[in-house]
Amino acid sequence: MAIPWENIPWWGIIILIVGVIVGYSVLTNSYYLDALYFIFDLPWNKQALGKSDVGENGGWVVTARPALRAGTYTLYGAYLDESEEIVGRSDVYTIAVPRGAPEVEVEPITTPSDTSVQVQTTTPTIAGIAPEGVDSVVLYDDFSSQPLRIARRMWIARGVFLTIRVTLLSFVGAMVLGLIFGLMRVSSRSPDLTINLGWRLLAGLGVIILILVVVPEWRNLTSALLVAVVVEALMFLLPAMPYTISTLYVEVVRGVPMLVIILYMGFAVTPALRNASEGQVDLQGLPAAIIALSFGYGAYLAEVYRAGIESIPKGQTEAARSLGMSYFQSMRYVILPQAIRVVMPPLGNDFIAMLKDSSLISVIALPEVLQSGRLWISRNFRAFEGFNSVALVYLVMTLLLSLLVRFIERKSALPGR
Amino acid sequence: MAREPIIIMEDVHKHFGHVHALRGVSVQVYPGEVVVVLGPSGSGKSTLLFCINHLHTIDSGHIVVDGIPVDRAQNINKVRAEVGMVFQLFNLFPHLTALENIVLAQKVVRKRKSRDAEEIARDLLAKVGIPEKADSYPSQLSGGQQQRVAIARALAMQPKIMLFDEPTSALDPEMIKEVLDVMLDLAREGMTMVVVSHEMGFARAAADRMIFMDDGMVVEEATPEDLYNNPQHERTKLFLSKILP
Repeated sequence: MAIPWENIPWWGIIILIVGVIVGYSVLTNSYYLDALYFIFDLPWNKQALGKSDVGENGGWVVTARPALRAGTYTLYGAYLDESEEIVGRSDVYTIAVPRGAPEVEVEPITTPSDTSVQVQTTTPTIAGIAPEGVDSVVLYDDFSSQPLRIARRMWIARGVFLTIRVTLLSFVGAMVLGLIFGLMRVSSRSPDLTINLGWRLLAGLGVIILILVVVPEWRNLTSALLVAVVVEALMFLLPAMPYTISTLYVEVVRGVPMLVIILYMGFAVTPALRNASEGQVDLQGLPAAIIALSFGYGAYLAEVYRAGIESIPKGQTEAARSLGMSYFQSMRYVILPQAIRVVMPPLGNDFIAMLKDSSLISVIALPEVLQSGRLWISRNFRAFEGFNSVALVYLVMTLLLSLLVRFIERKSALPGR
Repeated sequence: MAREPIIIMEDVHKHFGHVHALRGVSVQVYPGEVVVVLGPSGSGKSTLLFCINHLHTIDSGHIVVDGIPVDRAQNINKVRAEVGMVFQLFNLFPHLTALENIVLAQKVVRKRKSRDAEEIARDLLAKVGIPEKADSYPSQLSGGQQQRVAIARALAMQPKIMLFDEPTSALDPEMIKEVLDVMLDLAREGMTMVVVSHEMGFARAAADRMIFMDDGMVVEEATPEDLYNNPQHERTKLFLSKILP
């Protein structure tokens, strides 16, 4: 393989040296490996179902807890010695839990087999004889041959995958919110309030009547008059509403730190909703985090969308409208397709920023990367390895994302650019 | 002509902030007529054009297009579908090929089926002389080719009127002729055209009437010959002396 020595940039060499140093320390220092193992919430291909000490004659019995769902399981026992190191494994016990099986104690399965054996319970018991030197046995469910289960396990993992999951879902939410408010901000700053005024005031009348029907207490002169004034004033100001409301949202939300928004969501809004709905609406944990991040970033994305839409030359709208297209048609077929390409670099940027801001959700007790790191540190008392691992994980994720964003930009560029 | 005018503008005023762009402009255009509007920059000629299809709203006066009062139309999009417009900077949609540019409004506004729209598009591309460029993107076309695609795009809607806003002003000299030839063909086929342009050759060959505008007002209206040979107003003479060789 020919190496183009003249063309390697100087920063590439520095990155190479740094990478080698980091790689060496990570791979040889077992604390790093342990911390990363914890942050990635490995393993993804097996799950421990229970543990048992080994008796005098080498016998062990493990009952699977919690209850298993219907399906086929490949179980085996991992042999541990006194210092909890894995020294071997038993043969495979293949069992099948039928649908509708009850959660009962049954006779243990003592013979390993490669063909599945039906058990009439969701908490089967496996037993076996362990060889000399084995102190305890952990029963594992091995699903390394079931990619769907591996994927599901990864999806709900603590640490890295929780971070990715939260960031993905929050970003989608932020993109939707941003588009809605961004479009509202594109509308005229000082619109003509007299257009269709008659219709709007008439509609206001309908709203007033509706309110008086629904709220009987307000059917007296003073209240009805107040309602009428407020409703008609709102109706009059309606054309200016989109811009006003969206500006309010963008300026207020951008002015509050992300951390405050997350704390507000987690410790003010969530309990209040839970009380008000008597436990029905519980946003504890993940939903609160996603709502907070979406809400907070939506404000930034709204401005990104607005800038993107406004960057499309006016002539495009003129041409589209002159052909007879409506506002929505011109947006959908002409403006937005072009705006999307303009808007992608800043969106990618904001996605990477959100990935790092996701570390803030640790304050509402979610076990994402930072929180997992701190948990590991509290158990192992090694702060350097812990925080370095956390930083390393974020760095690798953002670098990969940057590459991905650049790739997408190049792929979607208009021909000739 | 004893027919009804297809465009009537009566005492139209238009302000842009403090600038009084149109001061009481009254113009009538009959079906099949080719009217060329000329004048110095800032005279309001482009504004006039943009008011006809309501891309600019007017402050007072009336504009009636094909019997429909434009400023109070129920569905302005329907009116605009009957009035095609060609812009100085082409304004082709850069994310679509030439063919797709021509097909888009047909499908979305006229609700034609893909196959019919494409057939019409290809015929029009052949008519303007570049059938082979159907799958090219605007950035891959020369200025003259882009403008011809823009004309085809407007024609695809089968409008009753075509408006041209300085269609050749942004073109290199070698490409002006190819666009003017297309416009000449259109004129000979009887299309009602309102053209803002400085191209005297085209005006002499195709225009039924020329309108000279200055400072937001119609100064003079005459046939091309009368305007060149016998301009009535000082301002017209001054302008003509500047642009004619």
